[in-house]
Amino acid sequence: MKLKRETIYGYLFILPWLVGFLVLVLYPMIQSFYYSLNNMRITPLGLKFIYVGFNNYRDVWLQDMFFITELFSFGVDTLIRIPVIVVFALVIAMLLNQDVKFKGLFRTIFFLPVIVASGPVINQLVDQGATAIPMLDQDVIMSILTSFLPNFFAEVVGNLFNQIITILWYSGVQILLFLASLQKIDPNLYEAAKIDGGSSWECFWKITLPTIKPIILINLVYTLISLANSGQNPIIDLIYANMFNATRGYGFASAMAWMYAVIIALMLLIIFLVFREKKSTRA
Amino acid sequence: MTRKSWLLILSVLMALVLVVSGCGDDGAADDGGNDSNAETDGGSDEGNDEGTDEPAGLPPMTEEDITLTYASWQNFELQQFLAEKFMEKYPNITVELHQLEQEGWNDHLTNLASTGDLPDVFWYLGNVDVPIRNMWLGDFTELFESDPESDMILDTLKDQGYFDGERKMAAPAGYLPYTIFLDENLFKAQNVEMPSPDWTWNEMIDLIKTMTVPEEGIFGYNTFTKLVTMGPIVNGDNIGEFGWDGEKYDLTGWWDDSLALHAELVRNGNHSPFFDTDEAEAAFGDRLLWAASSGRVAMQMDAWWTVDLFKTDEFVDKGIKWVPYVVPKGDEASTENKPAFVDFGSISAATEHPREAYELLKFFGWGLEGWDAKLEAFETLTREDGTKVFTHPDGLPIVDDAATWDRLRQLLPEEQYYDDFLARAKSPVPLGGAAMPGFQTFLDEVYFGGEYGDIEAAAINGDVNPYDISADLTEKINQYHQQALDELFY
Repeated sequence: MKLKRETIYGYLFILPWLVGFLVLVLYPMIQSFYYSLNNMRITPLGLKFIYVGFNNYRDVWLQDMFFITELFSFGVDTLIRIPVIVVFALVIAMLLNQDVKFKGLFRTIFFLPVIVASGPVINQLVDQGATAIPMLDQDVIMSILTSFLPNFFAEVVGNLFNQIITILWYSGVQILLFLASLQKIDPNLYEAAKIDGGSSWECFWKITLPTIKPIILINLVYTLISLANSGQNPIIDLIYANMFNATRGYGFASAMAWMYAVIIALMLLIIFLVFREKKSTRA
Repeated sequence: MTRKSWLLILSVLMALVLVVSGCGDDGAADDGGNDSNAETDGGSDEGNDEGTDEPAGLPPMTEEDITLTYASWQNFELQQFLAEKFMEKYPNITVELHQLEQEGWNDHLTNLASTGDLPDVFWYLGNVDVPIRNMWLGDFTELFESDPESDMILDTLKDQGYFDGERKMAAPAGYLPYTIFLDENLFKAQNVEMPSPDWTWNEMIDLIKTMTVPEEGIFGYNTFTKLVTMGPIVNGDNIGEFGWDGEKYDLTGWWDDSLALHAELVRNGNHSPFFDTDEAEAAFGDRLLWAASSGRVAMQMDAWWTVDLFKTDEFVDKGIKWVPYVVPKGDEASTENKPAFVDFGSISAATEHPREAYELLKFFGWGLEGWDAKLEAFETLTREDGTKVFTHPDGLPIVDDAATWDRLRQLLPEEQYYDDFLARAKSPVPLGGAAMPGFQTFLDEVYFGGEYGDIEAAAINGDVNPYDISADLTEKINQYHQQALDELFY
């Protein structure tokens, strides 16, 4: 057998990713699954394990009162934040797709938070209140919201205003993806629609949106994953806290991480089922 | 692509997986490693006659060149000074200091332990369940009990660290007493006499009420340290938090009384408004102002380390004169037990040099020679710009040695308050987390994060009546203690 030169090049190019995936993703995943089936002690003489089967998974639901409440609040939070982020990204992408001066500069500006606002930087910004709009009076917003919304939901929506800048900063990659997709739409389609008397509004619904629909799904998935992994996510903090907790430790924390991953996978499945391309039933 | 090329790729991937798996250190899991209770090394067997510096009863120190690692959150300049003194005394021993952030201290130790680098001697922060569960604590019972210096440790601290009642696995290494500061100037302004240094619990409560003058915006007290911690120890003659009598906890005695009292005082406005609240803004015009620096609080329940801060211009310029008092004795109490921040250290269960590690732990903690060196550091250490590193000694002695206490006294302000304070600060009772297995886990999972939420906040808000839950909490905390003890025998 002779491998094609292109094939070899192809695999060489993806080799760094493959090695990274195996060492930094697959191996830790297997390790974490193994931990989750054990009670683990970090002794000065090495790691010690006591096999407990799936008890840690059961205990995550029965013993940690914060997990369920944080999961619920993450679910409601996500339900509100994902549409806000994706719609905002689409609007900005459409604006950036116009023929305006300094287009490149604007694109850079909207992508910049992706690079700058990572990890500790974003934590500092949140702590210092730099992620809220100063003119917005949070108390007034809350009192209005609670007057017609149930408390738990009003809190989530109120939080949205409080962290609106952070939320919008999560839009950088999505804007880029939308932009790439928008640029691939054939201008002739718009031209033909205009000739037929179509308004901009109609063009958006009949041409733009159907064309970029697959990218909407990708952006929804990307947004959910980035929110789920965010350093601002209290469930991540909870997993970390359990990792170093005296009586729970790595085994319990790993089980919690796996349960969390399953929940996220279910949310992804729901998004996929709702937004996937449906095959036309017409012949 | 042909089947052969697929096979080739899969083989490469498999090889990579095997290489990665091979890099794991699971082998260590079953590694018997060093016996933490191993006899002292060769030096002890050889019967070194030259070991004249050794305290009688302890085996001699090794003469081999060894290195010991040490980690604590003491002032790093002090640690360097003490390490040098120790190395002067034992030139064959090199002390390497680990410099770790105090925040997340136990997490850092966990990381070190996971790579097999747990220091030979280390302090653990706040929660003894972490080192117990992970089997970090070395057993130094024989060394401690054969050491004549152990008898000099303050009575209430001597038996701390015998978590199962038999094995000495940790020892007090730092001591900072609870301190109640009274604003002498405010007392004078209100024509209220300062209490006697031998004041009692009820006198303190009466004074809190007397010194609360709503029409002048004066509050009786502000808390960093809590009545609910002090009450059971000083009134119930307990030797631990939450009614610990050496065998079990009992929250039905003074804990519920103290919490109910605190809740009542808060609701009645005797306590100053809490930080960053609308009430604080209304009272002080600044919601972020520390009540202790407002000049309108009669008592600040705090800790020894604040003495230094209260001597600064910030307070002097405002006309605030905070003077230290010990936590008052219970009216019916027979002991002088007082709550204290006591830091604990231990030697690693995996240290190859337990005898020498013990000596290092003692030197940095309770040892007389170590305290000599510490006092010298407090007196002499200066920075490059000529300023003193310590304007106030970092903690009180753990040993009951008059010369050490007298020398420390010289480093404090001359006022009589300090003489009175030191004379009554020799029965410290450590807080539960570091001293009592299961305590901190109980706090995390039940007391602050259980079905009642934060119990103290709930009591203040009137959501929970301490008397209704104290029996249930007593049962739970004793269960947590027992579970943690079981871990010791894991």
